[in-house]
Amino acid sequence: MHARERVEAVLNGRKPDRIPNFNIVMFFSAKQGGRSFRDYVSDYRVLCDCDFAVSERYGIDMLSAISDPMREAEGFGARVRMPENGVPYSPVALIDDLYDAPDKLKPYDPYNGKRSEDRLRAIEHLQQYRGEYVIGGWVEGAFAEACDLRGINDFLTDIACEDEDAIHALLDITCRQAIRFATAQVRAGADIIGIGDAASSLISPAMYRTFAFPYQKAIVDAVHAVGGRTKLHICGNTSKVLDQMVETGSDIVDVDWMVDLRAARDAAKGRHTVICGNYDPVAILLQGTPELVRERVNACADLFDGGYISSAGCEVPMDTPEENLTAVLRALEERGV
Amino acid sequence: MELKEISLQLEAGRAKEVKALVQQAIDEGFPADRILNEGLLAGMNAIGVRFRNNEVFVPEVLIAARAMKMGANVLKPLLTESGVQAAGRVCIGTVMGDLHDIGKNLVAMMMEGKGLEVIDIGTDVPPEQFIETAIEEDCQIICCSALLTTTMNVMGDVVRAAENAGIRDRVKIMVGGAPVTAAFAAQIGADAYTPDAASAAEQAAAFCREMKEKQAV
Repeated sequence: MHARERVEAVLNGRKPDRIPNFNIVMFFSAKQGGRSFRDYVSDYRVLCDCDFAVSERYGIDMLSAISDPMREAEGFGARVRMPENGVPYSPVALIDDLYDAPDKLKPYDPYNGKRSEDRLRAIEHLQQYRGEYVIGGWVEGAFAEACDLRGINDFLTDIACEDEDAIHALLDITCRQAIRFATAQVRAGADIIGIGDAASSLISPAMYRTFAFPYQKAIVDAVHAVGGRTKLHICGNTSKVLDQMVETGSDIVDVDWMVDLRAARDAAKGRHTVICGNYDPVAILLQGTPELVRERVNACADLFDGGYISSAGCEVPMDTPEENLTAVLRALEERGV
Repeated sequence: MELKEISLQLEAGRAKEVKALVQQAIDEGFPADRILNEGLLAGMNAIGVRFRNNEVFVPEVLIAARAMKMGANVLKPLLTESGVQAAGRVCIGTVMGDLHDIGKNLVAMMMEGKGLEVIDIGTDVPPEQFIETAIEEDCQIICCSALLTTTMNVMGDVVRAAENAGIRDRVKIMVGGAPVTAAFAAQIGADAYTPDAASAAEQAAAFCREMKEKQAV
């Protein structure tokens, strides 16, 4: 089987030849390709070349146009700095008053000549590999994007004490833009849209239900409506909202290393949801040995009989020893399914 | 009134009520240190414990801390007047190259909740700035945060900078953040790693007590 058949098999409830490997490589990929992270996040050709090389070498089954969270914020008009080898960031939050959000944030065409368009170009460029690989797109979830635009400290304070309608007004805008961006990526040829909603791991299950879940579900539904699939990825400890993550209907639910993978598996029981995760990217991949990597990759996989994709809980750290990432593939090949 | 009312309102993040109740307590003649300890700090400690137990989450802590700050502003002149001293002084920041601040902010809030004076030097802080601040502000503790595997090594530079400046024997260096582990802390020669904000505050308070006792001896 090649990567596409393998992933399709798992998503359709059939047996693959081995468990797919969905490790997220960004900094690691740029470094392996000898490029600065700035080049990687600003030129789709660099990103595609680096990622294809890394995926071939380490047996990663999805080529993903993922790089950083600031592409959408930049499209809304946020000033974004791109350090040579750091994550792009916005030095000043675009929205300094929650109640100004509807006036300040205008919807935009993702083919905007900026880095939103660059992601779409990446997906178009990756089509040359579509015979073998699945192609991944990426959007910020509505909640995470609201944090990117408003500043995370301020937005998390807002949701605790400001007018609920004003909060939903902001989330509605970020959600509509996410849908526009995600569906454009599917039309450009992405099979699976990653929805990154990191900040939603910092709030209570009740707040998640009100401010995160409905928008995640809306994005999932919109991607499904145009024939794409989704992977909901939330960094951090989402133990208390696993049921809600599954309930969004996302085809894949990707959990970080703090989550008990058994609990994630059980939350998906009786549904078609595929669970992805979740060995520790730092303690295992970065600081561990190939033996430890093999042990943890197997320990995660042993919990499942189908419906599972292997990955670290979050991004592969830049300085991960090559032999550790090789050990991931070895372990998956050795064990089969 | 009972001072417990202050802590309950603080736990609920009701800043205006906390401010009014602190004023009422002052008017009713409660001593400043009791208002601080049994009202404000008790409330902040309770929220810290509930945060660690996953009973409340970041938004609730943020508004509780805001309520504490407003209450403390009312109380400050009285505390100064009656000579109440902070339990210790901490200099805290996110290391150079790293802009994540929410974890660092939570730790700072919890430390204030333990009665420590916290000098927050922000994000993207070079090692020398930790040292300069610790010397100028006479801090017993330097607390470093990093959220990236690419920046956590800067924490080792902070330890070395403290050694080079000759202050290593009089400051404790604490580290934390998602990629940081106890093993890493030991490897770089830091004094403590704590996995969450409440534990960080408890550790800092314990270090300050130890250092005070040592001085007294």
